[in-house]
Amino acid sequence: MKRREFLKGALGTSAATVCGVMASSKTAEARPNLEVNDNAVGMLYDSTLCVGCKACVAKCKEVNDMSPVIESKLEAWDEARDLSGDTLNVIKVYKNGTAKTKDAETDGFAFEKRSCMHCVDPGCVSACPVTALEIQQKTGIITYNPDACIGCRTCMTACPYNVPQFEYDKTFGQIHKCQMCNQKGVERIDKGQMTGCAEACPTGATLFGTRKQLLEEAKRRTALKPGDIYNYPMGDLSKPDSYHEKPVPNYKDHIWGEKEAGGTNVMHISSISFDKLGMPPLEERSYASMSEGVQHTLYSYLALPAVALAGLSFVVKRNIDSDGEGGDS
Amino acid sequence: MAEQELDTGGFDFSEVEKRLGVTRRTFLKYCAGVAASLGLSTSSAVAMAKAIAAKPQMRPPVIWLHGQECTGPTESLLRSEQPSLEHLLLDMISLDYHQTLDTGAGHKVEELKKKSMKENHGKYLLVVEGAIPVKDDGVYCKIAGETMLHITKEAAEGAAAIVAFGSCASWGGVQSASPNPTGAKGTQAVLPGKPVVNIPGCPPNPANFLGTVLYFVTFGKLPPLDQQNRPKWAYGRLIHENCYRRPHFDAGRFATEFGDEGHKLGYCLYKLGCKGPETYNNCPSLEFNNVGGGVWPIGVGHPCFGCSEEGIGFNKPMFALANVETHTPPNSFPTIEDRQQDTGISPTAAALGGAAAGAAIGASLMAAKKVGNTPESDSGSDG
Amino acid sequence: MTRLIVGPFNRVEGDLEVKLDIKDDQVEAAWVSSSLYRGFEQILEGKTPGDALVFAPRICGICSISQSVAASSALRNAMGLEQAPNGLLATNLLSATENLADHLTHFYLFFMPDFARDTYGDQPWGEAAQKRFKAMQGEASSYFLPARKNLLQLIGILAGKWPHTLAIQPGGTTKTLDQGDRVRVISVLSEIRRFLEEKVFGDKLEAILELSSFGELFSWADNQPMEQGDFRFFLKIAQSLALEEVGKTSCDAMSYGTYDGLFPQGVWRGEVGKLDPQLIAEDLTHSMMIGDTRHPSQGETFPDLDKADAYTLCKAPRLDGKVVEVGAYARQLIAGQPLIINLAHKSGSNVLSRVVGRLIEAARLVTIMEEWVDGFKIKEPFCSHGKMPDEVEAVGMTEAARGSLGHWLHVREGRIENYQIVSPTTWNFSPRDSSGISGPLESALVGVPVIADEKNPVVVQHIVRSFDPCMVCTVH
Repeated sequence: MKRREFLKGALGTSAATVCGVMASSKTAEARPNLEVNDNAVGMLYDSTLCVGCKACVAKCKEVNDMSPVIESKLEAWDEARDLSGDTLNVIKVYKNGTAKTKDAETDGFAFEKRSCMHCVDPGCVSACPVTALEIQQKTGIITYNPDACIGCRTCMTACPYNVPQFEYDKTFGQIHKCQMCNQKGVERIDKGQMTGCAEACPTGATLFGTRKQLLEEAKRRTALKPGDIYNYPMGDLSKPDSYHEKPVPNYKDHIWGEKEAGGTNVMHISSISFDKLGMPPLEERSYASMSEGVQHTLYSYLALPAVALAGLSFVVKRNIDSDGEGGDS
Repeated sequence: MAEQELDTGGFDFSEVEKRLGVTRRTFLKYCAGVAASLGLSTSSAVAMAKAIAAKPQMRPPVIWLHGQECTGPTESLLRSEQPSLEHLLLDMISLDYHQTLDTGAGHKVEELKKKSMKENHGKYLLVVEGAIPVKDDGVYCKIAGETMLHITKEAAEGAAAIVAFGSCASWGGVQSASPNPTGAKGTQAVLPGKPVVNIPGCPPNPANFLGTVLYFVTFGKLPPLDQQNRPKWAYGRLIHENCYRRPHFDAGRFATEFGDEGHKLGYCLYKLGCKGPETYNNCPSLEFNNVGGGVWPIGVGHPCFGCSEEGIGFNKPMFALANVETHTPPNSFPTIEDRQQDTGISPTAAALGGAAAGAAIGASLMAAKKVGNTPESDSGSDG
Repeated sequence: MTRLIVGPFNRVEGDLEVKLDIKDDQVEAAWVSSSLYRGFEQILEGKTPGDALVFAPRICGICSISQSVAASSALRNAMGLEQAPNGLLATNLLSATENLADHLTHFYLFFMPDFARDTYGDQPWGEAAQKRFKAMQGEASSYFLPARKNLLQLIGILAGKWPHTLAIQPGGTTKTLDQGDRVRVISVLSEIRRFLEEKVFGDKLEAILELSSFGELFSWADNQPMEQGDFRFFLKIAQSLALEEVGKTSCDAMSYGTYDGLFPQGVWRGEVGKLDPQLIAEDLTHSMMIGDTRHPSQGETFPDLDKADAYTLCKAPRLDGKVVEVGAYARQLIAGQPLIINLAHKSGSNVLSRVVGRLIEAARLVTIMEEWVDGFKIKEPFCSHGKMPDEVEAVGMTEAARGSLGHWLHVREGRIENYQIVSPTTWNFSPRDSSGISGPLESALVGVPVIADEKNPVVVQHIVRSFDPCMVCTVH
């Protein structure tokens, strides 16, 4: 079973359960999406510029003091397959057929970055019962406070991108996710620096800036005529450390994160469709806005534990059954 | 090549020993080395050695033309090793006309050229060095009152094979860069329908030329060529895929300035504009100037700028980033569907376990731990 | 009166033709013509400034390093940058190695083979000259080519390949020498010294550099049989053919200076004077180029092959309206080399003094290079860094083996707005200017005796080659 089906199921089930229990409640109405913070910092990942060097992955681990993931006996470099308690940022590859041509859907390949998207209206923040996850008003960064975290991992189920990761190998594990290099002790953004990955990227595939600037840049790029020469900025969009010229690829007219689930501060553009790059099908409406009214009503009736447990038990049972049939995702 | 000597069936090499001033052993080793770099068997090496040693009278006559160029290819050829390249070359072929190296001067030499072309019609090897300007009927390059365009076409008429030596002769080279003021073109472009072997490079590696000529002398035909008519044995590999700095690219380690820490440690030069990811040549294995020890452009710390690759060298700005289009993603990249498996349990089960157990037990455990630890814990426990 | 066309010239870099009017067995007038045009200046327009480093060296396969040095110094001046001291040493070493290689290549492969011609067969030294210097067959090439290999190895170690390197950057070099490289450089240099002492001079370099007059030079030559060193061999030939009277020019001599002032900038007008680069202008009257006389910083390069009264693609650079000669002779004169100054006072510029100038410089360079290698501070940087302003004008001036080389650069909006190159042979082989005054080679040919039937006068060959012309640089 696919993760997003599970997610949908879980949300649907709990919503249905809640509706059944609280059918009479008028306060269970959903709120609208949170508003975009134009000054929020974000990143634009341009898949067509990515050369797969993984400099961002290495830099991220350096800045955030994380150990490499070694899978094979021959310890070489970091071999992280996905985000994990040791990996906040990973470059994955889409391959089709002979995988000869870059940025082609058929017989081609493309790179895609996985890291926290820093949603405008994040499910994780909404779902966290103890506000360990928060939106920073000034920067829009979704931060994590390990002191507040109770290890419930609800955030993991609430994230449509599978971003928050738990340290399963530790008794008292923490959640790990990208905090735009601005967590306590790192604070690169507060110091006026950019994120480590944007700084390390040799091509400007990961570009740092405010959401507004980045969205403008993304719109500019996707509107360009393929084949024309464009001068790509690198590093921090407000003060690029350099530029490089390159012919414009055939961009899809889709900026991931402009609207998806209320929008994200980290946006992606690409020349192959995002479902191929593993992005979930999302509506413009944020999960948080749909579920929050319900949850808060539940909180007000102090009925959460029972309802949540009922819903989760149902889901768990169903998924364990289907897991048995079909193997993992 | 291995130290084992080739079995030459008792062939007498004393003549070649005298002519080239090398020992039989050195000579055979050289032939074996050339054969190996051409991807040929040891029996081919023997054939090659015999061809060089036994039949100086069968040396193909060579007409060597210079168009728009800097004599770089000839200069790079005029180097020496054992047996010396130029010795071997001059021994293998009969250089009937070469503008930079000839003894004579003036129209006398031009006459000799015409005579040789007539006498050896259909047998000589034509080597073109330099581009051929075609704008305004080719007036921008004239030799003895005739345009290079005319001279090339005339010489191509009776040539058994044509070799374009250097990027200029192969695809126009430096002078064909935008706006191409003289309409400079490569040899093939002005000789439609004629087979031309391209040995691009600025300058090209002389071994690539000599290997091709050696093949021609031995087998009487040209070596297998790629789509751009370059010998496959020399231009079949991407520099990036064979570069000694490649591991640094794969680890995301880049030099950002000449002489910075990364540069000193030999990091990848991609960020400085290296065009290795889109240039096909054997520089990483052959190197330059016969010094050894990492003497080639990337070896001395400056990026490859794609001198041999049409559309790259002289077309892309030096510090512009290369396309890594031909970089086949290695298997070490995770696929979109990949999940981390560091816990030993399946991700789904883990997620579910987390959701269920975490909510029920974990929460209380953590809460208990936090309550107990709060006074001492400063920045959250690290486990 | 008869008209004779000599050329195309072999054993020079590029294409060259000389037209001679002969009257009473003497050259009455000469026209020097270069016929190859590639359009480097037009190509560089609109490129990024850094690309000058890619394009400029490709002008020429034998002055490649000098072109790189000129381009990188134009960029450096534009950025207002200081070279890292190690980078300066490495660049100097590269430049000197190329000069040395060029001087020796010229001597062994281009110049001396003319004495192996049949014309000289009945000279007392004729047979020996053929044995030693016949093109591609003489003994000399069997020992010179391996020595040349050493020089190219030195360039390889410091610059990765030759010709055409990108290792020379505005702030220094991309190659960072380590202790191992230094040892390699030292060992190659000692090989080079050995070659010069055993084969070229047949004496210690220091002994050669002590010769300070025409008289001392020839008595040194007489001390040993002529087979003792190729320099001595040449001097004997020069003596028997009175080469000091052949190919004379009476113009001033100029050097832009190089090696951080070790060979200084200046003009020789019987004594060393100051050079004002602002007084340089290129006259296009008889050049197949459109435009008027301008300083190179304002220069244009648009060929028009049908232009009336024009006979070459070469421009006519002048210093304050006057013809000047450039090359190793001029450089050593301005650098105060005693022997060359003595030769200048005795017989001025001629075939002998040009060739001696080159070989004396070669000896001098080796001793200087040995000092440079000791100057490296391995742990210090080899390259400094700067930023190119969006709008700037600058010039890079250096000395190639065959004379003064200048690159004038104008950057606008971060791109090259104008790039003009004035090469050594452009000075030496320049056509007549608006006042009808010939360039150095044309005037050196006037009065040369030519026998009526001689199709290919060997004296003309000596004179043309004594300038060590580089035609691919001349017009680019």
